[in-house]
Amino acid sequence: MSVTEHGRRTPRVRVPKKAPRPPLWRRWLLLLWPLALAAALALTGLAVGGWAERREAGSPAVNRALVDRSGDAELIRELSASIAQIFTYSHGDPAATERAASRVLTGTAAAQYRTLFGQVRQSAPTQRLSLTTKVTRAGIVRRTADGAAVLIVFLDQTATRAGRPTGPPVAAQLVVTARDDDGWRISDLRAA
Amino acid sequence: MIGNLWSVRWLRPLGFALCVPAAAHLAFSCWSLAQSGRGADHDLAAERDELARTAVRQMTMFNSIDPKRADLDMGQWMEEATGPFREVLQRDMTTARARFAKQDSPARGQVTALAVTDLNTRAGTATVIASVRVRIGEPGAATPESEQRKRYQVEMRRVAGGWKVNTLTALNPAGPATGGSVP
Repeated sequence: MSVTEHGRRTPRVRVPKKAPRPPLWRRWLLLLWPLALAAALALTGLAVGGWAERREAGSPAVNRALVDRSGDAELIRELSASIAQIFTYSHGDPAATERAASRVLTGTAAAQYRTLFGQVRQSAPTQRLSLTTKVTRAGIVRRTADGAAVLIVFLDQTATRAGRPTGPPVAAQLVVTARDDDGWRISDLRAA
Repeated sequence: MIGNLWSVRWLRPLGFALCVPAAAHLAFSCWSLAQSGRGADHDLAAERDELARTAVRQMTMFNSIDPKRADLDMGQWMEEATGPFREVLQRDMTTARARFAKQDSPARGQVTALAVTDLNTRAGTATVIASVRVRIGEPGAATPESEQRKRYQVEMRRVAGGWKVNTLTALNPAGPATGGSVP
């Protein structure tokens, strides 16, 4: 009897009634949901971040003109001096103008400058012409944090032949695009 | 299969661990989104752009006149002027009207460049410089009868109806002719 009883009890103790195993897909789900949540959070973060970036790029504050005034005075002073130099021509010292132009002009501005100023450089030596350019007003239209700026510059130009003015001063207006790379260099130059 | 699952059980803690930086990044992105398009810089920049748009519209207007409807045009000028400039317009109205009566082709101004050089939002004052091209001739004509280039320094003032022109100074090379007459 005891043998039989023992024999009947033993399997109950050693192999207790097992809880039903969850199906395989549930076990995978249990294992992977934290990863899936992390991925969802990351993707949402990227999407929202991209949206914020696009909104920031379209904000008027991208243009720093008058918003961040540090360096504005220097930018205007430096560019005004450059413009005055490259549009001032003395038939006695044409090299000075050339030197200024090659120092401050870069990219397309060099070609644009030749178009704007070529006539003067051609006729000046034979006619003993000199041209003096003064910047009367300058204003920053646009300036970005990456060191690019657009300015408008108002010029008064006086031509002299053999020391005497050939006429009243002439007005000129330029739209100047400049880039700060160890000092402001002019990359685009056109008459307004 | 059980063995497989067991061998990759570390995926669960890894998932939890990754949730932390992902949530932080999401929070930061949401914060940047909330910050974009706000703040003192944004407000100042928006005001500057609004001022520039207004000034372009006003400078175009002050440099355009159709002799056939000069009274209407000048009436509009008055609405965009304030202070000294408004007084000047008022004073010169009769002479200007007589001048425009002799002119038969309309003049159309176009602002070629404009920059806000000073802006004080608290005081509601601003300075703008602008260059304008004025074409005189019939609108349909291929080439205008004549073309003029003008430069201005404009003092603007914010009044109830928005930014208005307070003084208008033509920047002539001979020296500034102070905001005297109708453009």
